Amino acid sequence: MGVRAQADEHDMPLLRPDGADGSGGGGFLCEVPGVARFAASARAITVEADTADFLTFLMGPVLAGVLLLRGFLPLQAAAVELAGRRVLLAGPAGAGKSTLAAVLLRQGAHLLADRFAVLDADNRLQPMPPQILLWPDCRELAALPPGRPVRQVMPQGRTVHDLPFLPPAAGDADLMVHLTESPDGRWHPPQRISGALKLPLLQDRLMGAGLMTPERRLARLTHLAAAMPHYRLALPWSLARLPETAERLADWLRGMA
Amino acid sequence: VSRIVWLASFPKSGNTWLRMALTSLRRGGAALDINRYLLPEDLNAFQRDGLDRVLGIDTADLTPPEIEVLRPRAYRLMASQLRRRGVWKIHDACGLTPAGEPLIPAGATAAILHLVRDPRDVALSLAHHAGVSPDRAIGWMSDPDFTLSPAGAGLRRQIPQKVGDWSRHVLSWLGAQPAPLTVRYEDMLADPQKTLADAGAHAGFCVEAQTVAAAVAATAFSVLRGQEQAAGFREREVRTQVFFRRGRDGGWRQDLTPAQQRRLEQDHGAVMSRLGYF
Repeated sequence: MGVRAQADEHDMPLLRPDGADGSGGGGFLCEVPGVARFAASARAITVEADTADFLTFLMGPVLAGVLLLRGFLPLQAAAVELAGRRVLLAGPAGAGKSTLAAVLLRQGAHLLADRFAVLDADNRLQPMPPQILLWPDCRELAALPPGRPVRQVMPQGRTVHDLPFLPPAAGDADLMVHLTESPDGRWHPPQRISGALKLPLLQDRLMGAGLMTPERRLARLTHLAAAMPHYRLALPWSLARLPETAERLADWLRGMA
Repeated sequence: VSRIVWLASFPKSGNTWLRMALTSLRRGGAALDINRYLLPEDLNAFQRDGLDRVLGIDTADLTPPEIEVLRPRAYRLMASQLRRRGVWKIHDACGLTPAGEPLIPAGATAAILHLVRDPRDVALSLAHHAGVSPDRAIGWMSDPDFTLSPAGAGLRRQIPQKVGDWSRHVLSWLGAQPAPLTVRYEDMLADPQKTLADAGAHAGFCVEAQTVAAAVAATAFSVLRGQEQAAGFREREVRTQVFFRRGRDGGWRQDLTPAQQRRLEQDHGAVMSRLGYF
């Protein structure tokens, strides 16, 4: 099957439902100009690739979209296990999710997910590849050896790092930490987020949100909001101060009753 | 859907101040909290997470030219989702993407407000804001490749923005379509009532005299600075002590050396003359 072009695609999202009614029930299209076009459903993915860089998008937004169609919830979050707790580290691009996860490895954390985290209908965290994607400054901070470029056209950019394989196991996520910028660059203990304040945050972290009807999205995110405590953690501006934040966060997690 | 009012300027030309005044104006001249002043329809052209949300993929996976090519599409999409006309901040020069498409999509644009400031004062403000020497800031202002949030060793929350040198930046917006209203920072200081009324009218907002007067009072420099002193300002750069620093013009006369003044006048004299600065 070829990937269908649409006449007005220049005014559409790169990832969008494949259906005139916009329901998304039948699948979705994902086009990355100059790289690849994908047509996906819950059961199959068709790829028209211009370059080998298509893998970056296949394993990112396309995989997330397919999982969404299969009833899972892909979130813009990294996830670690530390002090017996499974912690989602959520935030927009550039918030420091991967970097914090990488620095937490030195505090004894195990990586559970990096590019995105996936929850099932019962909010159980699903196993993901033991890989972390880091920019050069963050890789240096995490003291990891050089990895493979995420994009072949950006060899000096972000790289993929394989971590020791751990037996995969799904399990309940214990808490979700939403990363923000520190107002003063200093450490502040995570602040509990209550009530309806969680929903807009979760809405922004849901990958492929346009593939779900607003009603389904609200129901699913409300379920997630109620399933676990949510916190806001302000990260320092300076990367150099991140190890201290990781140490304090690890202590805070260990101290949770 | 023509709902974007672009508020375009070279960095440190008073963009934030005018934006706050326009916010107060649309709220009937109400006082505002400088850390929560943005209306839902007011976006930043450079905010990475906004582009990610509307495009449906992570721009961290894209190269800077790929992002640039996609920006007009993202702006059209974002504009189509706006309930009301919004004021969008932009620091890029007005030009074409690598695909040859205008960065500012005409179909999504309601109006353009182009804010300019004497480059000699811009140099001082930019140096202070970035925590660098005036000479370095002056160098940036003459650099045709001057870029905010350039791609580098790490990921930033803002996408790269091609600003270019001060003269070409100003000229690029003077020639933009639809024709912009050029607002001088110095006129905002000298006659804020008239300047805000003109800007608001060009943007298509209600500019009843009492409302304009209230908005001017609510966003007087002393008020904004007072709020920053009391509670800080989240848009302040890490290396900067204060964002709302002086709020006056002509500081260059005391704080720039004759050589620094000469360099700016040599590099930008023609455009300065056109704007009445020289």
